[in-house]
Amino acid sequence: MLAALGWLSPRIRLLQDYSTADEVDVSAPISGDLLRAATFGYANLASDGNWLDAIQYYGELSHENEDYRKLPGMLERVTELDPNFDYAYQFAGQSLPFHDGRDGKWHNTRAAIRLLTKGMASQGQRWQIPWLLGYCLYTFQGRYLDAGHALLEATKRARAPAYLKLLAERLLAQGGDLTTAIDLTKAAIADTGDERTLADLENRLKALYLQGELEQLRAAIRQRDQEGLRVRSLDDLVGLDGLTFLPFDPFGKRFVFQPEKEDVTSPDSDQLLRIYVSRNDPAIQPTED
Amino acid sequence: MFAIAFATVQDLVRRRVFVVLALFVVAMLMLSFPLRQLTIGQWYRLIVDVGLGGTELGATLAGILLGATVVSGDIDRRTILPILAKPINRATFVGGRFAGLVVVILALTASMTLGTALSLALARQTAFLPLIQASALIACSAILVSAIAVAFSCVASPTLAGLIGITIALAGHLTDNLAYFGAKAHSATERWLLRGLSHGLPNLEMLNVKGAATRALVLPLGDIGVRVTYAAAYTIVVLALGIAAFGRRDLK
Repeated sequence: MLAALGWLSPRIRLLQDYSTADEVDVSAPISGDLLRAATFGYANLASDGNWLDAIQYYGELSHENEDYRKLPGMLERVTELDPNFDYAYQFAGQSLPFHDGRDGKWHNTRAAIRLLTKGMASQGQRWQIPWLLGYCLYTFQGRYLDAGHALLEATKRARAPAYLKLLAERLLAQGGDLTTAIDLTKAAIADTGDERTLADLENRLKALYLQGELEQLRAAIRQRDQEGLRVRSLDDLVGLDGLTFLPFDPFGKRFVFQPEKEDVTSPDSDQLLRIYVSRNDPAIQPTED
Repeated sequence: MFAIAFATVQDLVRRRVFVVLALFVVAMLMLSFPLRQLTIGQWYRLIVDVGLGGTELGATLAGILLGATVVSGDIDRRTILPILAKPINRATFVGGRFAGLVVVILALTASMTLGTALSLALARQTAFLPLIQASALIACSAILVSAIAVAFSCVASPTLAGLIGITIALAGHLTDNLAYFGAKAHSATERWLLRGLSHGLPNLEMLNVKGAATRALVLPLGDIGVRVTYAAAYTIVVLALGIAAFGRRDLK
């Protein structure tokens, strides 16, 4: 059987080379049901054959010149044949995004996100699958909220490292889902027995409350602005919808109103949980892949 | 019946079935080394997949090809006549032949599983139970299809019985697809035909837990029990039909 596979492999590759001309989308998904039916109960073995083929393709340095453009299709086939092949999803997340030094762009990032999303849908058990999905969403598409929820999913998997909770919380805060971020931090506080970690987590919880209060004050300023009323001090905001009294800065200081910008800040704004890139901008510019 | 079963095992041993077994074990042991070079991690998965795939292919083919000849071979060579001249009825003869075949299939599957397990041990992998569970169901599947081949060999030539056995062994993995197409079919005839096939053919996917084994999942015993019971019931029914047909066959 191995000899037959060895004999067939180069011939199949030749067929693939012939059939995947530039205009053909090699990553077009083939019906998994059809593929699996055609293997008559040997879908796993067929998946392994395609997996070995994908690994050999990835290992061949000359394929870098074509931006590994066949790799997404190969991994798609691997996971269609065996949707439970967890490591193939992880490999896709780690290896598909490819930075081309010649044009300075990233390639295969959407394919990586598609395969990782598929891995999540097929109940992949590895924590690395949602973690890599979160990483790709944040890095290549600037989707902080989705990335935060993916990381939140990663924290629920077995053997997930503890730091993922903190990263998820930071991304959720950046994405605007404060409630989930606060719940996550409260759960982490309830879990920890270490005093130093507890102090750090309590500080993070304060930072989340601070962000919530700042957002509440800014919403009130916008409301006044829409009503055509000028805000001279923060006291003007009291009595508006949902703001019966001025909130206190959780770090014990006073909020600072900036009349020229019509904005409110806190001396503790540096405590806010942020990914240090500008809002809605991904850390790495995506490419049209 | 035991004498016939023993004679069947001796007959099959003479056909050098066990040479194939030895070759498989050696091939599996040698395979574990190049597999490590070809992949990034995932050794357990690859060794189990290749081992179980080979075991299933070997056991199923042996079951069908040997099953297609154990009864009809005696008929063709006329060696059945002196046997049946003794106080042995036809059901005992077919049952004995089948029992001998089952012993060979079990030995074959056990040897191949041992080869795969040794290969895993060489790769320092220790999850053997999923492998054993999957192999046990592969043995059940091979016994079931060999019963079909034996049943058809009671009434047809070895070639035809073998072909039917292989066709059913392949189609048995498509019963869900047949049911799906049956539900989608426009004509009532097609619908009934496809539904009938999906219910009548053995559901070999029910005996296929290779996927769980590659993920090192241990199935509950109750789950395995249901699958084994299904295979045993199907095997008994098919064999009984074959024996009934053989009882009416004119051997002169």
